[in-house]
Amino acid sequence: MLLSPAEKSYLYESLISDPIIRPDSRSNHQYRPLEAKTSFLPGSNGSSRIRLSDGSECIISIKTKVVKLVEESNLIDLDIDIVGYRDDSNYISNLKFQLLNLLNENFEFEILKLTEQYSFKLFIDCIIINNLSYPLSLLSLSIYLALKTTRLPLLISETNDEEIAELPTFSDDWNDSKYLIELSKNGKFQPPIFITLGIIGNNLIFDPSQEEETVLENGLIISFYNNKVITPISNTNFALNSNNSNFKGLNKKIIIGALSLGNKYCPIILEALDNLIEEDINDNDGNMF
Amino acid sequence: MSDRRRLTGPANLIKPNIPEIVSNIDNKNQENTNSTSSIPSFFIKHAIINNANGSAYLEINNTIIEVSIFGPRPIRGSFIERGSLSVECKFLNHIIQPMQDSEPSKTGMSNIEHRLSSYLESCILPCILLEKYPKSTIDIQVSIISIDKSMVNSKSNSSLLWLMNWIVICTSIALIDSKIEIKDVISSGQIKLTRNGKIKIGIEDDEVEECIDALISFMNLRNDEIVGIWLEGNQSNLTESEMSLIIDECNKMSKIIRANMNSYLINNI
Repeated sequence: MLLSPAEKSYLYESLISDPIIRPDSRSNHQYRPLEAKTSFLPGSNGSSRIRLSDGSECIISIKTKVVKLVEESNLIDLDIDIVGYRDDSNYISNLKFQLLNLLNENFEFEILKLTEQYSFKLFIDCIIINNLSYPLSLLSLSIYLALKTTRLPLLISETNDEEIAELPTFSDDWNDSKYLIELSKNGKFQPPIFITLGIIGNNLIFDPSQEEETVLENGLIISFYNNKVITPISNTNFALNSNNSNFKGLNKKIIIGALSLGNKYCPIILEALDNLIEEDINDNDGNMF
Repeated sequence: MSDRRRLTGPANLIKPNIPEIVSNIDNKNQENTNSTSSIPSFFIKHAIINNANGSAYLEINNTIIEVSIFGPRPIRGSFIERGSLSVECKFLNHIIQPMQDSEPSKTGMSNIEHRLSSYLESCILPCILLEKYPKSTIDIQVSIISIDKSMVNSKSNSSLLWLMNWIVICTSIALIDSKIEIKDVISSGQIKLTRNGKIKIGIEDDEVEECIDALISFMNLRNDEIVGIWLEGNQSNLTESEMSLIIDECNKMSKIIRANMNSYLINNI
């Protein structure tokens, strides 16, 4: 959507004011309302779908494969498809690089391990049917939901195959399958997430909407794992085509402020998502809507 | 009566902020700085490509980077108020890219090349006065001609940040050579902060210990404005004081490199 210079200026002024006035009257740390559903794809090990209030929609499917550990360099593969973008465009490649990097750095790979030789490999497929704002956070939250509800078949063969080479065999009964969290050693499996923060004046805003992105001074991407803000952290221009005339550098105070905001509010976001999963598992209707 | 404006200058006069001249002509940057860790000496040359509007060449150890800038040149089609910027970072074909999976011969750019391009773009966007170039486009092409061996073998992202650091610096010189109007020269610092608070500069052999790799780009003469930030690492925690230390240390390194760039520019342009 194109805003006129007057509209932009109005939006900019209201966003830099203290206290901040956002067009949808959210506070600076509030996400847009989202609607989510998990485990609706019968052919996938895990799936999720998030719809945002502005019509953005993302569907994730996670499939697994048994692989030989020596033959695989990465145990997670990820593919993103966004309607209207080429697969080799900078936009998609960047999202892919960032998400893969985040997962590879901060994932409990131990839970995928089957035996000394074999392991599961996760294939995460992301489809964005519609997006208006920068989709990284939407993708990341959807992947979180999908990973949390991913189930792996129960291994019934021996886990020790050092002496006798043996192919892993699994229980036929899908009811025996285990959630990743149940396989986790410490019993709390929390995939990492990305949070997008818009920077405008001295204000930091969570989850900027499309209109807000057009007037932002800069954008910060922080990651959150194990109840702490961690690396990777980077900045980027959320608006497309370098046509954001307000784009500016950051200052040190803002970056440190982003850390403390992240540490304060991300646990609440994850708690909300966890509650959502619990409700969803309880009314397990297999319905997408 | 004498012309008052001759004496006082126009109302909107800004005094140029002239940095201290550092007297090291041949880019040997360490002798007169008080930094504890050392930045390897590097070689820069500008205006090496006749066809480009601006170009620069940088060598540090075995890393060789070449940047050429085309534009501002007019675009066809509808009117745009501000110049449009496009950035492309490419490894030459024969180079094995850092952290590359086993798929070398893919068409188009790899994920890493896209990531490098987008970091460079977000650094340059706040720096160029794009509103001075309506209906034009500026194309920046970065070729990575060679990289260090240790970079190829490295499993961590620190080598990528190190490479990015020098791409930013080379691009800054090329931007000056292209005479495109900019707010300030960008320079950057790349450090490694280890668990026990030690600061290291440069790429070293892979270590198992937890650390944070940071690359932060600044416009040092515009209140140290941060134009690019990229943090990687395997540390399970990042505190505010660590963040503050990282920014300060990167700033220090950035200023040393900036001083070197300044002295090169003063002596060569």
